[in-house]
Parts: sequence; structure tokens; C-alpha cells
Amino acid sequence: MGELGRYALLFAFAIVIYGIVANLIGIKTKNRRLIQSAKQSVLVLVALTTVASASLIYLLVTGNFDYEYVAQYSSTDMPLFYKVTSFWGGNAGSLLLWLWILSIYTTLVTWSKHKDSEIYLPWVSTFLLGIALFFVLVLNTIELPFAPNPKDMNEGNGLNPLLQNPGMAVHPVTLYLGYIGFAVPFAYGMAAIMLKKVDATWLKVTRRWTLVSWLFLSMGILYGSQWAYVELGWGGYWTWDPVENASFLPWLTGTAFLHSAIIQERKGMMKKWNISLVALTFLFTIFGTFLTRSGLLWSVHAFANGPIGAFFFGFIGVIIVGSLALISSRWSLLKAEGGFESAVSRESSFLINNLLLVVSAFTVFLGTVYPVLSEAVTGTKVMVGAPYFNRVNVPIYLALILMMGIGPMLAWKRSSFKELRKNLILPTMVAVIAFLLLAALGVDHWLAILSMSSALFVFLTIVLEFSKAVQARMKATKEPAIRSFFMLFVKNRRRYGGYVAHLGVVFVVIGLTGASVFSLDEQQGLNVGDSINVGDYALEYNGLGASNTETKQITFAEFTVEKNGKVIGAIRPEKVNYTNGSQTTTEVSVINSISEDLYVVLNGFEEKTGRAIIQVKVFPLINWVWFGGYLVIFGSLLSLWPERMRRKREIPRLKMETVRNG
Amino acid sequence: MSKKVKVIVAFVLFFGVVGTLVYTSISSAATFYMTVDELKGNEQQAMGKPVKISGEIVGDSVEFDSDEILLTFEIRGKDDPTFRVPIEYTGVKPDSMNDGWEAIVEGELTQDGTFIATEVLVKCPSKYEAMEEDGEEPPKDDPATEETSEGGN
Repeated sequence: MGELGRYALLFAFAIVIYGIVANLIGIKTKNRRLIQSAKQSVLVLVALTTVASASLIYLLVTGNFDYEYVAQYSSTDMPLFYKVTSFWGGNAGSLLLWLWILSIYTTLVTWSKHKDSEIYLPWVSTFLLGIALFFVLVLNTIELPFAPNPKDMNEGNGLNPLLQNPGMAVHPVTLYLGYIGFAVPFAYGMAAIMLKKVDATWLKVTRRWTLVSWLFLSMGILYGSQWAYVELGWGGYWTWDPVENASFLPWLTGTAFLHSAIIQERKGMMKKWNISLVALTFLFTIFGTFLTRSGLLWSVHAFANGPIGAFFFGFIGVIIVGSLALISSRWSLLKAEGGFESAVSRESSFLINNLLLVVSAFTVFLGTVYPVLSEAVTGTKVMVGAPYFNRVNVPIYLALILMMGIGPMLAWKRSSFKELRKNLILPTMVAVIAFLLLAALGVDHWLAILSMSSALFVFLTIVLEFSKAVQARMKATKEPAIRSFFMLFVKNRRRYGGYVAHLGVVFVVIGLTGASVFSLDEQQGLNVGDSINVGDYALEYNGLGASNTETKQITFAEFTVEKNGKVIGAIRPEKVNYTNGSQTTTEVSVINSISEDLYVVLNGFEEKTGRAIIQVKVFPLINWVWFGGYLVIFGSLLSLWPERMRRKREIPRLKMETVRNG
Repeated sequence: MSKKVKVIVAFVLFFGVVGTLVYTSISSAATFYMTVDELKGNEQQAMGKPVKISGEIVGDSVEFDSDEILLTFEIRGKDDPTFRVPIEYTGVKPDSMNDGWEAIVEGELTQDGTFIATEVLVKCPSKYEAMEEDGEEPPKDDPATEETSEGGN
């Protein structure tokens, strides 16, 4: 099976080169047969990468330790699920997964049909294959998934126990699905430039791709934080770790792109900006893969060093130089069809939103690579920690949130102050009252007050927007309120799905503010019978217990938890020793509620005396973060949902709308 | 003022504010980073400012006082394993304090050469790849550094 995979990769290399060459010659000589043949080569590619991936999974599942990769990441005693997920446990497998997903995407795109697709697709396919070429090259030269094991082994090392968690097993895949997805709008953008077709076609065709990629990226980030929160054992969910930043950077620029694409679609403006933004986003996805896979910067994620860094570095260089050259060669073509008419308009609010997001991405990037920069310049490595990122970005995000409330209230072209005042007076007043109230209640953290009242402001603007739309619809159609509300989503998914996503962001902001500013943290050694008080909670220590399974030995400490004097249950934080491995892990115990999490960690214990050292934390509103995150996902799904149902029923209406949108 | 001037003024203001924010935050949140090997001979320089040091954990040196919640251990250099830095950390003992694993400590170096850490991070090898490339075996449990977890009720 391993030989099969190895040869599949080798042939994949050949077929990628063939596909690129056939496309290029086909475009140049207008040879349809060659282009058709290139199209078929993509099918061969996806078949080959599927064979390679399947054979690696087969080797991992059957535990064939004659292969180095299998010996490193699989072991006979792991459950089947983790044997499969060890596929992306290391460099070679992750890159193979990258290539596999990319070739699936490439096939989907190359065999799709849309307006002007026969002109676009050969170029799009060339660019996508060009990206695949890099990965297939790496997989055939320095990161070999099917390298034979030099040692004779009967048992493998197994996947790191920390990664043996359902969320963590899926997290890299969601992230990759998002990362790689951005290759599609990038390839379309570049194809549009090659073809000198600078209208919004490429944006319309790739809107779904962009949104899906963004959605996967958001899910990846959300799962990652949730995993860190429960699994790492200290309640961290976001630490501005380089690898976290690597996933956040394309998310920031991707978010900017989602918004600015709307302006080009509707107004034919910001063409240069959009094409640059999509290139930047794609660059960040490669940079992210590079960061996690090269070991350029240390992080808790600690990945291996190797020559792969140089390869990625070269590839990033090629993308930067290539896309800069392409974009600048068509610079004059990328002129906007119109200018900004007023500073107070929907257009300019999108512009500000983009500026804020991209500047934030830039500051995050700067902080992430600062150790490398400072070492190059001064010779000493200087790192910047979370305080830098927070201090710079919290004000930017506050401004963004305010824009999120104001922006949708503005009309296209120009908005009158009078109308704006009418729309914003209620939310502003309530937000100001909330601000004063919080200050009067003695909350002495002005940023927290500001962020809470801004979130409230945005919440109200969204509610108002919905209620206005429902009222207008009820008036026009005489439908009852609930049906009107529901019909908003049927009629204009994109817009109202977007508002739901905004609403999700509001919850995330409230949750993050609560969990970061108002959290409690106590640490204490307790003897049996002792108790500890944290916030409204009292924990009484009942003693240690143990339970063993085949693969692990668990020791837990049991506590009876009282909240405001009432017993609400027992809690059992654990320490787990893996019998095969070299690691101990901490399993925290959490009592969730809407208002806060009680988070208890067993830090250590003495067996003889039964003494336990525990850490008790209270994270207010943390569940709002998760809820908000899922709401963002739900909102994006709403805007993504195909509108085919409507097409059947209301053909004339749809035609009218297409004209308006175009 | 023409529209263009207004826009330029707004941009200059915006980037000025962000630039200042970045500049002041970077200088106040900066931590010097060095390995134990790089620290050797440069101790005077490293004193009195926030530093991050990385080195290999000396398995036998790990001690945890559960009454004081005080963790003490040593880290050694890769090039010169005899050069060791004693670390004192008031706080939880990380799970995987295994001999030879890389620890990253953040804090300050005191005059007597002890490092008072505010944060201890043990780099979890997401794989044991790097070590295998060096021809080493992946670390196995060192009974001296781990609590045993049998018994109980």
C-alpha cells in the first residue's frame, strides 16, 4: 500500500506539470482539445491524491510500522478514530491533506459552469495547479509521507495525548478547509487580471467560495479556542500565540474582503483594493501553513524545524512577486467606475471597516514576526506578548464594532445626517445610559464599560433594522409579523444572514469582555474537609479518588460546590496518566451557566495525606463567546443557503433583482 | 478645505494614532528572548529586564512544594549541559516536566543567578520528530518527576 501511495504522488507531480503546460499552450494556441485534456488531468490528479491519502490512512489504521510516519504518529492501542486523525498529526501528512483538499477544490472549480467560464477556467485551473505544484514538489522531495522506517519497530509512538480529543482532531481540518478555500478566489482574481476582465464577475462567481472558506476558518478558530479552554488546563482561549495569529490573519483580511467585494459588485469601485486584498489573504493562508510547519517561531504548538522552512519562504516570495507584478501590470485597467460621493455613505463605511481590519491584521503580523525582525535588525530576539496585541487591537476592534452599528444604517451614495440621527438616536441614548449606569455601579474598567455599551449599541441597531424591515413588509404584504420576519431571510438571505452574523459578533464581544476583565482566579492547597471560597462559590473538598481504564490512570479530587449557600452539585477535576505515553494531562471540571463558568483545575496532590492543590477560576459570560461564535456560523450559513426554491416560484421578481444587483 | 485635504488629514491622523499605539505598546510589552546557551556569559546584560529563556529541563532537579505552591527546577544548555539556571516559580507545576524537554520561562534574572519566573511553559512536542532526527529516543516517563497516581480511595 505504501508503494502505491508513493507512486501516486510521483505521478501526481507529473500530471500537475502536464496540466499546467497543457493549459498554457491551450490558451496560447486556442486549442480546445488541449484545454479539455488539461481539464481531464485535474480528474487524474484528484484520483491520485485520493489514492495517496487513502493508502496513508490504510497504513496508519493497520499500524504498518515499516513506514516512518506511521511509527511516529500511530500506535496499535489508539482508537480507530485517532488512527485516522493521525493522518494530519505531522508535517508530511498535513501537507498531503493540503494537497488532497486543494485537488478536490480544483476539480470542483475546473468542472463548474458559470458566466464566461470557458474563458476563465483555463487560467483559474492553471493558477490552482501552480499552487498544487508547490505542495506536490515538497511531498516528493523533503516531506515524504511514505518514507520507510530505518528502525525495526513493533509499536508506534502514538498521537500526542493532548491531540487525542475530538475537537482537536477536527480543528486542523476545518482550518485547512478554510485556508485552502481562499486559493479559489485568489486564482479567479489572478485569472481576471490575466484576461484583463476587471469587472465584478470573478467576485460574483467566487462569493460562495469566499464565504465558505471564511466560515471554515471561523469554525477552526472557534474550535481551537474551545479546545484550548477545556484541554490545556488553565482556561486560556486566546493567547496571541503565533499559530493562533496565523489563523487570525487571513480571517481578518478575509473579513475585509467579504465586505469590500460588495462595493465592487454594486458600485464597480475598489477594484485595486479587492484584488490586492484577495492576494494578501491567500498569502496569509500560506504564511499560516508555513508558520505552523516550519518552526520559524516557537509557540506552544511547537512544530518541527527543517528545510521545509526554506521551501515555504521561496513559495511565499514567488506569490508576492508574481501577484505584485500581475496587479501592477494591469494597474491602469483597475480604475474605479465612480468615486466616493460623500463621506457619510455606505461605501465609505465599508472603506473604514476595511481600513480597520487590514490595519489590525498588519499590527498582528508585526507582533507575530517581531522576534525574527528584531533579531535580523539588532541581533537579539525580542518578543512581544499579549499586552502588545491587546493594547493595539482593542481600540481598533471597538471602532470596528461601532462601525458595525453605524454602517448598515447608512444609505448608498450619500446619507443625510438627519436620517442618520433619526435611526441612531435611540441606540445611542440607551448605550450612553448604559455607560453611565455601569460607571455609577462602580465598574472601574473604562474599556470594559466602553465595549459593553458599544455592544449594546450595535445590538439595538440590528434589532431596529429587523423591526423596521418587518414592519415595512407587513405593510406591503399584509402578512403577520412572524411570517414577515421569516420571509426576510427567504427574500434577502445575504443581507439578513449578515446581520445575524453581526449579532453573533456582539455576543462574542460581550463574552470576551466579561471573561477577560472580570474573571476570578484563586489557587490553594486543601486538606480533606477544607473549603475554599471564590466569588459566589464555596467548594468543600471531599478527598481523592481513582479510576483506571486500560490506557489511562485517572486520579480525581471531589468537591461539593455551593453557590450562594445552596448546593449545586459535585465537581471532579482530574489528572490523567497515560500508561503508554510520557505525558500527564489535566482534565478540568467545569460547571457551565449562562452567566458564568466555574472552572476547577487539579494542579497536584499528595497521595499519602490526600492533600490537593487546586485552582478555581470564574469566567463570567464565557459561554456568550461560544454562543456568539455559533451564531456567526449560523448567520453565514443563512447567507450561503442556495436560493433555488425562490427561483421556481418567483421568476419575474428575481429578474428584477438581478438587474438591480448587477 | 477641499475634500482631498480632509481625506489626507483623516488618514494621517488615523495612521498617526495607530503608529503611536504600536510604537509605545511594542516597547512596553517587549521581552528579550534567549536560550540558556546564549545567556551564558551575558548574565549581567540580562538582569533587570523582562526576559524569556528556553532550555532543557533537568529532570532530577524538579521539586514542587505543595504547601507554598512553589516550583523549583533547573534548565540546562544544549551545547553546554553543565551550565544550569535555577528557576523559581510560584505557581502550578506543568504536567510534563520531563528530563530533556524544552521549557520556556518568562521572568527576571536576579543578582544571585536565580531566575524568578512569572510564567513557565513546557514545549509540548506535537510529535517526537525533532528528537528522532537527532537520533534520540522520545522521552519516557521519568518516575522521579511525576506524581504517581495509584491508590486513592
